[in-house]
Amino acid sequence: MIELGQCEIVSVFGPMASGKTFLIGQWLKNVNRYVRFDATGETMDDPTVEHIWKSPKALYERLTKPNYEHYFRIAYHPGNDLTEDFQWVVKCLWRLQVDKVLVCDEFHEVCNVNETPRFVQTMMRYARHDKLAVIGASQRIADVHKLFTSGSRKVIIFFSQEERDILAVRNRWGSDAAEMVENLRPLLYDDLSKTTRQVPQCLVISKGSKPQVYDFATGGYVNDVERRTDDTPDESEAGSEAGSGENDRESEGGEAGGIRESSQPSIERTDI
Amino acid sequence: MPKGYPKNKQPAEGGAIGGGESTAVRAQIREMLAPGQEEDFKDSLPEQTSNDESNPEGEVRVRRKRRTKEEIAREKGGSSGVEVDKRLERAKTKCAGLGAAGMVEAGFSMAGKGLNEKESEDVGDQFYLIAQKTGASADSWLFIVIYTVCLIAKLIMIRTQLGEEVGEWIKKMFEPKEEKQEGAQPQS
Repeated sequence: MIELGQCEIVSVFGPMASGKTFLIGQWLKNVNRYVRFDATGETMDDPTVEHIWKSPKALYERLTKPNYEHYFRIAYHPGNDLTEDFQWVVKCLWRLQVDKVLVCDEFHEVCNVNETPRFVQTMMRYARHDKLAVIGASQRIADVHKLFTSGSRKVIIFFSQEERDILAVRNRWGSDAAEMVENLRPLLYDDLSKTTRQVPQCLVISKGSKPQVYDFATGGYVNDVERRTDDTPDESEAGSEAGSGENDRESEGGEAGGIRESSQPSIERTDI
Repeated sequence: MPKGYPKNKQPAEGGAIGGGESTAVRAQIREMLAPGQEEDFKDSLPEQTSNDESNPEGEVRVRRKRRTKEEIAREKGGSSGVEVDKRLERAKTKCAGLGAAGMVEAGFSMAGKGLNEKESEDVGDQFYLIAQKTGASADSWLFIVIYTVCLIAKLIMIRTQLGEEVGEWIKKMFEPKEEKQEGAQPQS
């Protein structure tokens, strides 16, 4: 599992049905204090969270409820004005003394590249000092403010072929990262049968580290395997001599870590 | 390592110093986004946001008419960055009474019966009232022409020989005539 650090800003990017929501859901299973700003009704049918509907007062009363202030898993459903509701949610969380997580699925709605409110900028700059972790997800990197991506301790990017997205990745993290995103294995999900036909990979860019490819099928980083292979050249050569088609394809992927669609078996899963 | 830095504490994952007992958020940080006392903050929280009834779907918002720079400046008392042409404003004010008041005053002064301040004001106000009623203003070319003619006529009456002659004629017109005595004998 990709580790979620405390009090970090984490950004998750990927086109629709790419695995963002699944990843966030996995993270939140282990978090005891979070508010999920649910503008799209993603958690409407989730009975494991408390639902609060466009009422900052109700939210704050719940957050500060005696004996329950150290445990809250809340989905906040905003009204028409997302920015107004988001501001209240941030204010309510900001006053809490404990470490907590704010999750926003469509982060570009409140942190747009063209118009980012002052309070969002302040939140991103000082969230760590307020013991606030922020997880923001968006479909396109180019849609969110650069302050968000540059301030993120961890950036997760799913497969994309959109030129604008690839260009945004290249501008922010270099051409190697852009190439890796293009070579990621995408999620293939059947909406009718609710089954996953292909488990995706994603690119993980942690501050101060090289980009790594994480494979949800194996639950590990692809680059780790390759690095070990690089350390033992004899074994690698032996593998190549064996003439395995899959190995050839992997070695072609190189730094991009590109294990493509046919290299992994289909895995029947219903939880993505 | 800086002096006084706790040696037994290592940076935790995510950059914060872990293992510390103090968990309080600094007041300066809290004040950045959610300032004030607890009670005041609670009172400021709305029960509901985005009240749909305030702007039902489909309702067309009435837009205010776009204002010119001059109108905006006038509303702000000329304190904005937009320059107000004071000379133009002054000229428009003078033109408001069509210049007729000036002509009347000039006529009386030529006749040697100049109007006092109160009378001048009354005459000016009266012609201003007439101009407003008839819609005469400096926005219309017609009234600007009328005002110009009146202004030149006034200057001619005051400053030229022709004006002096007219003035003499007016003076004579207003001079009291000697009444003829009945039964008076013609002088031989």
